[in-house]
Amino acid sequence: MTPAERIKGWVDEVQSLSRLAGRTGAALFQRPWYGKEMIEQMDLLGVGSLGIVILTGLFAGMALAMQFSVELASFGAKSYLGRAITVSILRELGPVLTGLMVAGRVCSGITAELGAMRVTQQIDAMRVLGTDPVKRLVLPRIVAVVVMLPILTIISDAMGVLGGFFISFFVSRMGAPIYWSEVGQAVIFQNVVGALVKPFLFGFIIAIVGCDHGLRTAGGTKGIGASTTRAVVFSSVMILVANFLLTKLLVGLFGWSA
Amino acid sequence: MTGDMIAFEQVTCSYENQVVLKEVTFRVASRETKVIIGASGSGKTTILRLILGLLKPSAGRIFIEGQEISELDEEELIALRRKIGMVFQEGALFDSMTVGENVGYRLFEEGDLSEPEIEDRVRHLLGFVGLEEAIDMMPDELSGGMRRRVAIMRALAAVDARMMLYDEPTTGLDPMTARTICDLIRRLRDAQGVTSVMVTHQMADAFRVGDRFLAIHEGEVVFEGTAEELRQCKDERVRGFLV
Repeated sequence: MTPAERIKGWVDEVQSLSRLAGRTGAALFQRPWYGKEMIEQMDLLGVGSLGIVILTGLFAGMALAMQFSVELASFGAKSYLGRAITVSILRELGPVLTGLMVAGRVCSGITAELGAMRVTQQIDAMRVLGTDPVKRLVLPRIVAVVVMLPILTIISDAMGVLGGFFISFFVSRMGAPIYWSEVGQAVIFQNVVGALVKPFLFGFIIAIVGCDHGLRTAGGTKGIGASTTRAVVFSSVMILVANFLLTKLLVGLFGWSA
Repeated sequence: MTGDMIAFEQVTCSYENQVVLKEVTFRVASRETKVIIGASGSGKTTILRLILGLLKPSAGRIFIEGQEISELDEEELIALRRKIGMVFQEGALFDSMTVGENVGYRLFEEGDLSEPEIEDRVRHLLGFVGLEEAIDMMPDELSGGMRRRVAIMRALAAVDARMMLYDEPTTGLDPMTARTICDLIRRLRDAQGVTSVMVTHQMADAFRVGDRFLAIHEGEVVFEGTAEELRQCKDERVRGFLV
């Protein structure tokens, strides 16, 4: 593939995503709304991701605590461990890691499901039977992921801070009151906003990329595999880029010195 | 155009710089069963997708019951599709739903009937094809022939379906099951006055159900006429296909 073709491919991708996002936005204000489908998707995509999110948060928090504990000790600042972990998790690690893990699980699932429906003509059948697939399939998935990802991120953040506590208490031999008092110092408005705004955007990216790639799948089972891989890679890259831009915005907004 | 259910006028369709149909013109009269024959990749299924508005023509005009559909938006097409039932190749049943939910799909979506009323209608339709006992089965538990019959009933469950499109409904089926499907298509025409377009390359089935025939070769119409005219046709491209 030549560089020109590659660039054209990316432009097509963004164009297709924008078109689908526009149609989904319009569908939000038009009947029918598939409430039951939305609840089902929240359970499937959100509650179903609870396990990996808990594990991700817990182990990331523990690893972070080990690293910080060594570095902070060399400055005689080990008592700040709780604050350092909480700030890192709330502002960056929690939203990004949860977003990437959910992208791997949910985005691939959405693409594979819609892709299979596409290659077996179920999407065409739906259109022929008078149903708009954007209303029936895309909107419920986007609403489900946008609502559930912030909740999953909060759980992941909590598990990360708890993981940090295990290491500080059992490995670094720090007292629990010191750790939790520093955690409390870090849970401030700016950090909490950062922790909650990012997952909304990441959730939207995961769902729209998954749906778009699924609905554009062609070429049988091989095509489903290729679409799924592309969707996960594309959504992961978009999450990282969006995270940088959003961080830049929040840094400017809250006056953190960069 | 008067009396025609479907009319194509100089329709050309291309995707990704490849011309799939070239200036295709034909008509389907009310209550007629038109069979479109042609080799794989000749553009037969594209014609069905154009009738349903799933594809837009690159040039030319398409009329359904006298209404030009080429410029309709998706909302208007959804209303149009209520008059048309489509049986996809392999059935295209929703694999996460039971047979009953598949057949009653449009009725559930419209929400005009209560659940018991929908179930009654679904049972009646499934009884018509001898599949009443399969109402709670999942599509992957059905044989190929059963799937096609369920797909036909799902298309028919559209309250005011006056037109049926069949995309290779007998391909891959044993002769007995294929005959059952053809008999069903004929019964729908005779008993309910349904206008049909069937795409196939199974010539025995084509002659069993067709009133008129259209042969497509590399996106162009190379023959249109009755069964007798088709048998007499001297065009090599058509004869090769008949043999």
